[in-house]
Amino acid sequence: MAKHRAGTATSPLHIRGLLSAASIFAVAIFMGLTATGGTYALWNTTASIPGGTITTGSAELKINNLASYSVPALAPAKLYPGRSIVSAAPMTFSNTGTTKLLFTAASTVVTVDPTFSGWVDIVLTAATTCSPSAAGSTPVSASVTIAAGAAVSMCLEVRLKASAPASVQGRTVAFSVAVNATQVRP
Amino acid sequence: MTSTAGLRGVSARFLRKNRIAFVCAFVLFIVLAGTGTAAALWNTSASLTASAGIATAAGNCSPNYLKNGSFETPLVSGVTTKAVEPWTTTDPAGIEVWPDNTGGVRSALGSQFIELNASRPGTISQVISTTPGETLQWSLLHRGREGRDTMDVVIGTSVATAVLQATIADSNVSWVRSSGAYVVPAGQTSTTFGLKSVSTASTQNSLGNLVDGVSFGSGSCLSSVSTVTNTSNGGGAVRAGDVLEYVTTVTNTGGAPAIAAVLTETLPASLTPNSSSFVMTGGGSAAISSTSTLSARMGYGATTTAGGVIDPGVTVGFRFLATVGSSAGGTSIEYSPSVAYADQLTPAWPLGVSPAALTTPVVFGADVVAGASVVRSALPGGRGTFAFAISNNGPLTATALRVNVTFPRTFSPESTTQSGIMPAANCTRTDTTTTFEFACLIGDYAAGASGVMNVTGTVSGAQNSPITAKLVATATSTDPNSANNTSSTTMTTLESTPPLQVVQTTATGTTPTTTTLNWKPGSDNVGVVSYNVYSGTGGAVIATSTSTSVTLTGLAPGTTTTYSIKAVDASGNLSVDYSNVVSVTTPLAPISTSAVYTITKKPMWSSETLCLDASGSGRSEGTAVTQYPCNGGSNQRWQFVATSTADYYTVHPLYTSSLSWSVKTQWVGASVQLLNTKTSASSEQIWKRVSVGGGMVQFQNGHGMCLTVPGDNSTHALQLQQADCSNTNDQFFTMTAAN
Repeated sequence: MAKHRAGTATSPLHIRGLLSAASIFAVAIFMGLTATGGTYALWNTTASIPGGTITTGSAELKINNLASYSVPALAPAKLYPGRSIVSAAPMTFSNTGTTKLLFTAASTVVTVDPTFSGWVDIVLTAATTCSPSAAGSTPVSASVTIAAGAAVSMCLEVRLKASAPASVQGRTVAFSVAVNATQVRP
Repeated sequence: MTSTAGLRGVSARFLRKNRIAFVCAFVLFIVLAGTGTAAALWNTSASLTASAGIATAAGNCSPNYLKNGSFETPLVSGVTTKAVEPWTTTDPAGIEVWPDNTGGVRSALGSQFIELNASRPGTISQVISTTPGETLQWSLLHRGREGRDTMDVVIGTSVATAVLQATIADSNVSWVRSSGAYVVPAGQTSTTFGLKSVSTASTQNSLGNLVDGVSFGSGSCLSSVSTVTNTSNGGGAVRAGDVLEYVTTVTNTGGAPAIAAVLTETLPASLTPNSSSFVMTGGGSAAISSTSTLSARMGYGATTTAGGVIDPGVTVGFRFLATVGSSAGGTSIEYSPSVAYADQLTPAWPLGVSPAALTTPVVFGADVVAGASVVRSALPGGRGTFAFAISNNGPLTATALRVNVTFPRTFSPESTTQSGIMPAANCTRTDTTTTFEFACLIGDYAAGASGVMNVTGTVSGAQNSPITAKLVATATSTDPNSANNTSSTTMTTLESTPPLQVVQTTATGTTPTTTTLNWKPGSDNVGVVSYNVYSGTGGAVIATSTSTSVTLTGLAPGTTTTYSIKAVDASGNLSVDYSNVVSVTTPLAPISTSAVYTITKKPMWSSETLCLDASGSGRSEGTAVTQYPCNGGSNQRWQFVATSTADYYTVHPLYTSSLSWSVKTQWVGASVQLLNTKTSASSEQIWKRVSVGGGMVQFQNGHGMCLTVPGDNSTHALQLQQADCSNTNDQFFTMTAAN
């Protein structure tokens, strides 16, 4: 009997190899999907847990217990070139969620009238009493982490740059600050 | 049963045959696991809104600021430690004020400054009213005294609780300015500003920390005033070629220094400034560019390129002269300088102040001026004289000048005299029922020309009645000031009633060389216009007065003079009678114990004046006091030394104070000689000067006897004696200061 080429024969051994490869792919897909957190519904099953409740987590930040807080008044002093004014009292930034939160200078978005955008610096700093930075310095917002259920005292500082033009004198600068916090991986 | 070797063989084959599948499965696992992890974090957000006011550089002129920051009051003549309102100090001795140039240190501002370390290190402070939230500025000038001195600036609710604002340390080379800002805390309506001495270069803590020009307030606030004066025309109309003086003063009425103060003004082309006339007061410099733009950099520390500092309460000024060009004729010259400056807290925000613009009209054409006056009045029937003056103030020639003179019928013109350019020709006379009128054509009248015509005539009518003459000048040329083309004057006819006698003449305030005479106002039918003062009752008038008092000066001490007064009315009538006579005796000048005197004696019957003389300049007891021809020697020059007995002195020659005039007994005829000066001089060695009138004196000793030239003899070297005092010439001497 003439010999057949091994690659084209459908021998029992060859069939066993194909089944083995398919099994390995199946295990890999199973493990990969399992590691993603279970958001794929490849396999479904149902089980009953008597007397149990599933509760989802949350992430929530509030300023003086409000999601949107209007600062009633900064210190009565006026802004002079190269000098700052600060909020009269610290504001309470509360993490009312269930996970630790972080916000940074980069994630704090200041919106100000374009007339003043190049002439004012608006920063948030963690402090229990509010005082302006030294004349001539540049105030900088710091990164703040708040544990779940905890609160931090924050001060708002507004600095008019020393190079501010005379055209801004006597004006009122209105602005808003969006503080975007992100869950910190446990 | 499978052996171990058999199993290894099967596994090896299994792995070898499925290696590609293993690799693909591993890659798939990694991709899927990585994708799931990145998508799992949560985000949240909160927001706030707020607004902030920006200050305004202008309008910081609140009156609530630190006062007397340059320590100019109270004024002191030397270094003085005392209260300096409204400052307070922790030093019980007060605040040590230095006048300018004390110890070679010039005041930075004004004429005084202080040394913070007075009797000890201390804190000076001042309280001002404040508004919570306002931003105040402080500024000061500081220098060390003997080296590098240090002090603190503190601000707060009180000296005890004031917060450190700055620590200032400067050497004694020059004044150095320091400044800062302070935001008034909530609820703080009064604020204490203090300077606290910290250390000094001196080993003595009462020496150091010189301070001047302190300010503490809300901001600077400049005001400015300009004036212009025509220096060429006595303040009159401005003409081409005249020189104008412009003065601009700038004052800081605020509570903080004004910085970078610069005055600028672009002058019209018709005004040429004289750069050598530029004068800055209060510091600074001035210059003019080729485009006629004046630039005056004002204030403390100003340079040729930058404006200086004008501290609160300080006034600086700029003065210059400028010549009016011919092109200005018929126009007005505007001068409205502006002063640019800035506030310390807003140095890049310019402020400015401009005084009210000065408008100076420049005349064009010919300014003809008429002037009528009375030369001499007269009694009715007498001859009086009027004067009529014409001048052309230019700048151009007055063409076809005419003058018209009008008199009432109570003045009948008879003759004229002229001086200057005043042609009498070409006049026509017109008589009316009420006037005599003269119209004269003078013709072209050059700029600067002038002339006077006097007209004399007979006056009529009642005594003390008015005669008004009028002069009108007109020309065909333009006159920039026609208001001065007409002039009237009134002659009042004389009357002959003299004033009544002046009464109640008195003398007050008499000193050795002056006295003031006073009297009741005189009475006259037409009014008293002045008073004549006479010595005694007759002779020449020694003084006149338009009021009811006169102060006579240059009187001789120790003399008696009488005075009387007469009143003069408008017609020149004089009181017939003298007033009551007042006798004035001037006191002798006080004896000066630092002066040297010569004492002379003129015997009644001799023309020779002799001097009291310490015989032979003797230095021993018993040296005779004589009379001798005056020679200026030190033995003829005497000094008086006060004693414990009022008005009594010991008298010693200039060459020795150890010997003094003395008598050995209290008897008449005792010789006057020099004896050793006693520590506690007694009656025989103390002498009192007594005025006897005519500027002469007696010398009376403690025995009550008088220095006497025996027999009023003129013999040289005659020794003097003591004798009972009498009002006779042998006891009369004259004292003359001979320093």
